[in-house]
Amino acid sequence: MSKSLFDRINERSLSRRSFIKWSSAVTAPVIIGGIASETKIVDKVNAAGTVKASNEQILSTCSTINCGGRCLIRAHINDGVITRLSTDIKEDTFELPQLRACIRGRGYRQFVYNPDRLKYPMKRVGKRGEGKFERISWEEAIEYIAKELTRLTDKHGPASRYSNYSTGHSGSIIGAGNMIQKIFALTGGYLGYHNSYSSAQTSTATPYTYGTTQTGNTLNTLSDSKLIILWGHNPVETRWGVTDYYVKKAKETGVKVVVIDPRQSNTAVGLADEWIPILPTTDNAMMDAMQYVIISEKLYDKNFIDKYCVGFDEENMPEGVPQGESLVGYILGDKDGVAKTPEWAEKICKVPAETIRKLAREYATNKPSALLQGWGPQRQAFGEQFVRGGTVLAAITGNVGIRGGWASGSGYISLVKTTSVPKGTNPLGNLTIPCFLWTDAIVRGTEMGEKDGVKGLPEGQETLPSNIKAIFNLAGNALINQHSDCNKTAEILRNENLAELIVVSEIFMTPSAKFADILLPSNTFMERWDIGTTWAPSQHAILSQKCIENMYESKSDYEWLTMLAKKLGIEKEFTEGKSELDWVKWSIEESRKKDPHFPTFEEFKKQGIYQVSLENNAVIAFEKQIKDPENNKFETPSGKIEIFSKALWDMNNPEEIPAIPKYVASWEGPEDPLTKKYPLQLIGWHYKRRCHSTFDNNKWLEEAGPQVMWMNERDAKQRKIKDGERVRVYNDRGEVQMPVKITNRIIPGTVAIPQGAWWSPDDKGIDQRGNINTLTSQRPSPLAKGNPQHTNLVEVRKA
Amino acid sequence: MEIQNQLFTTEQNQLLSARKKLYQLLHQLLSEPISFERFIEIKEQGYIDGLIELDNSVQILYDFFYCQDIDESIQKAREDFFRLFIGPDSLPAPPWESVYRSKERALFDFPTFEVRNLYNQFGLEVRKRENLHDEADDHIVFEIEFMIALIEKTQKEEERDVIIKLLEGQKMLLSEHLSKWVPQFSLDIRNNASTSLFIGIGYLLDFFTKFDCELVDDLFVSINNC
Repeated sequence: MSKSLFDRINERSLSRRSFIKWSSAVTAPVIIGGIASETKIVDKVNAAGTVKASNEQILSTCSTINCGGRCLIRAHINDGVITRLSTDIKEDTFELPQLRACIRGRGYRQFVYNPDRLKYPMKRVGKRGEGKFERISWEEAIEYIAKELTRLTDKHGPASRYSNYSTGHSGSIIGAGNMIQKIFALTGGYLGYHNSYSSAQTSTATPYTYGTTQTGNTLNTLSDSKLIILWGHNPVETRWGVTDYYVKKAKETGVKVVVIDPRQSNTAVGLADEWIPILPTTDNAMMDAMQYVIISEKLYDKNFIDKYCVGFDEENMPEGVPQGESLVGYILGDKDGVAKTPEWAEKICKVPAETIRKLAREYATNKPSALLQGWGPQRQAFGEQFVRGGTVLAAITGNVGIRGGWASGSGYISLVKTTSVPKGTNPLGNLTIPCFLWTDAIVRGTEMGEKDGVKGLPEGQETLPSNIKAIFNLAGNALINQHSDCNKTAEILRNENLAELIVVSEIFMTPSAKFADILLPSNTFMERWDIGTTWAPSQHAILSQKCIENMYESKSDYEWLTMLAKKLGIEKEFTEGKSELDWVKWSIEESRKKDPHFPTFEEFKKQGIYQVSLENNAVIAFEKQIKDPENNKFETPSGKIEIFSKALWDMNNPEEIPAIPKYVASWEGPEDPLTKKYPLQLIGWHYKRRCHSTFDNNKWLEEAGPQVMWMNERDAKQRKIKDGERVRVYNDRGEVQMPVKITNRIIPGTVAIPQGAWWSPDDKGIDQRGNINTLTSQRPSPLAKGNPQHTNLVEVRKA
Repeated sequence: MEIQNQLFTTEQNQLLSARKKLYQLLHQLLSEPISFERFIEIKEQGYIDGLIELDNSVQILYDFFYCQDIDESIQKAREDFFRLFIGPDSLPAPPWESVYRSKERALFDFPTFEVRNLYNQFGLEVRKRENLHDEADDHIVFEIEFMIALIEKTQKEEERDVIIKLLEGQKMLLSEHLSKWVPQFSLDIRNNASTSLFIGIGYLLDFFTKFDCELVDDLFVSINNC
């Protein structure tokens, strides 16, 4: 029943009387005087009264997060505020395609103006990892870091100091990780790292075939191919420079595109004529069988092999290797009695023998053809074999060094080169660990030597001089989220007797940030100067202009590291008198010395971008070596393409590191007896809605791509799991609970969780967000000591 | 001594003064984590029990000031303040209008510019800081501070036309801004606060912005009629 008007008026006057009564009882000066000193609303300085006319400024910039696209962003700025973003608007041509933003780039405004940004320096007050922090000043933070760093260096030596792998400043000239290494170098040295979490296996293995990782062509040449095979390559989501654009252009001219992937990725849906589903970790079984078809049907390029390769058959083997070790010997089963036929492979990889046969014939007989490897399949237990297998397929079909072909392997190409800020020389020499083994180096560093991939140990020293004691994790989420086995990592980090100092700089409260002792608020790329380049086929650089001032109390890493350098008495040596903007200008001038077309600072500012037209600038890897082999040797020990690598042979570990690429049945692969307990293979993928773990907290992007696990209908039916239900995904390393998407876009026997979700363990340690690394292993690959992210066995049940 | 503006009745003058004090109370509680000194000031001189008569929900706020263990309560309230409005974790009640009203749920959207214009119309702006990004004008504390400034101007103003403008500004802030986001904001505070201080503030803020709409409307009517 509604109240009568009279009642309501009566109530109102009562309230008013109470209100006045309260007011007159309040002792006036306290409350009234209370705010005078803190007033933030003040008389307007230019007291014109009304608003000034709109005066929009547009600045071009780019992100320096580890994104495969590196699009051009135009920030529309009004009154010091980014009010909207637009992207590349120049004419879109084949030689100079637009560098338009995808959904990630369009979400940058929410990234910069997200209310959840870290705003003030924080110091841990609870147990490490618990997430309890207290606000402190920058001066207090710097004081603490300097004191602890000095103490730990005195006690454990400079090799106890480590800058953890992080890619929040990626393709950038002023990386935070490099800059803290510069401070370390100026104060005694540090333990460095080699490899990356992206490409350890391919960067290590590719040179065993070709002597270099520079095996890519400019992407315009894809249109000259007759067939493009994208093996575990998903450029529609990762962008990969502008690979998606050029594959599309090639397809438009009639080039056939085949995608091999356990998932029917967006690339498979959008660009492929054929999708070939395959079980994870078994790529080399299929590659072996393709080679079988090519060899047994004599489809290989004999002239090319004779002229440029070693190790194909027994006739062109290096000296000192016994009979039966050549590629042909292995493929035909001379020694092990197993011919690597398509039927043999089908049982392992689940690709029908006829499909393998057909693809092998198509690839070998349609020259030129391009086999492009993504980096996903090399992030497996024996990822080196995948890399070498691809390069050998390219070599025996003569697809290397010719326009429209592709050498396969890592695929780097540097058409545009930028110059990084030098980080000086490490007084400890080139002492490095594989970046994936840093948790090992915390626990058992002093036991780690060459067999763990440690490089640069001084003469007479077998192992590292110290365990890692001080970790600087600047602009990265590999302190836990992007490293393998979150539960194990967390246990190591929680132990305050192991790593004694963890400094993290971040933009948000990420899972890694939770493990900081000192947590520093970083600004974003919109608030600082830098230069950005893109992933592998580097065809452009963008000036990452500062568009707005630092928000809250955030600083760039360079700004606060300068404060730290000052505290340590090395400011001059650290900055060399330069601000970030000065370094950008310096870098441009250095780049111009090598490339006169590199724009001046003023030109760069005006154009925003340095993009090389591909017209007349096509790069084809190994073109010189093929055209003029007398004067251009491959950079391998033999000077040829090494199908058989004597260097690998000499490692004397033929089961795990064979001298020719082979299918190695993987631990936690489909042939592992552990499948009885955990019958499903688990892989991840780079999701369009995130850049690694960046943007996981962006609500718009979550709408565009919710965090779900893909599972095949058959596997779901067996487990009575319905689409959209929450499921438990688990193995001995941990458990994840998340929603499932039932789909035929994934091969039966395999489930897939998009990588990069923020690890969110509940009080039982069960991740509630869907972080794949709750389930991944810290066991490294044999040769590169790389991360095996896509090698996991799990079971799935209804939650 | 309360300010007496001749263009208003005694009761209206009293209401202006009361409104200002209540906004000041909210300002104090929302602008920084509570200190021991402030706790005592408000407890001893803020007459919180008097506000219960206005709305029962204020009982929760009252309970905070009459708790058993003062030090612990203050500490918990300080933690609440950081958790709700500052971080470092994701903010359950981000104190900016733009976050509540924009599609992007981010800062510096249209409400920032709308209130910036509104402040400018009255010759006011958020204090600028050199080499730092401007603070977002639509932070709850700034909107409240703007209201206090307009009430103070109203109390002192002798020209009727100017008073009408000042009341229009207050009405604008209430109807076009506070009432469009404070209901959800204060609900988020109530749902996520773990101390009676902030649960109480969550109720008081919501109640008072609604109540003040009526008060300003009535002031408007009377000044127009006089």
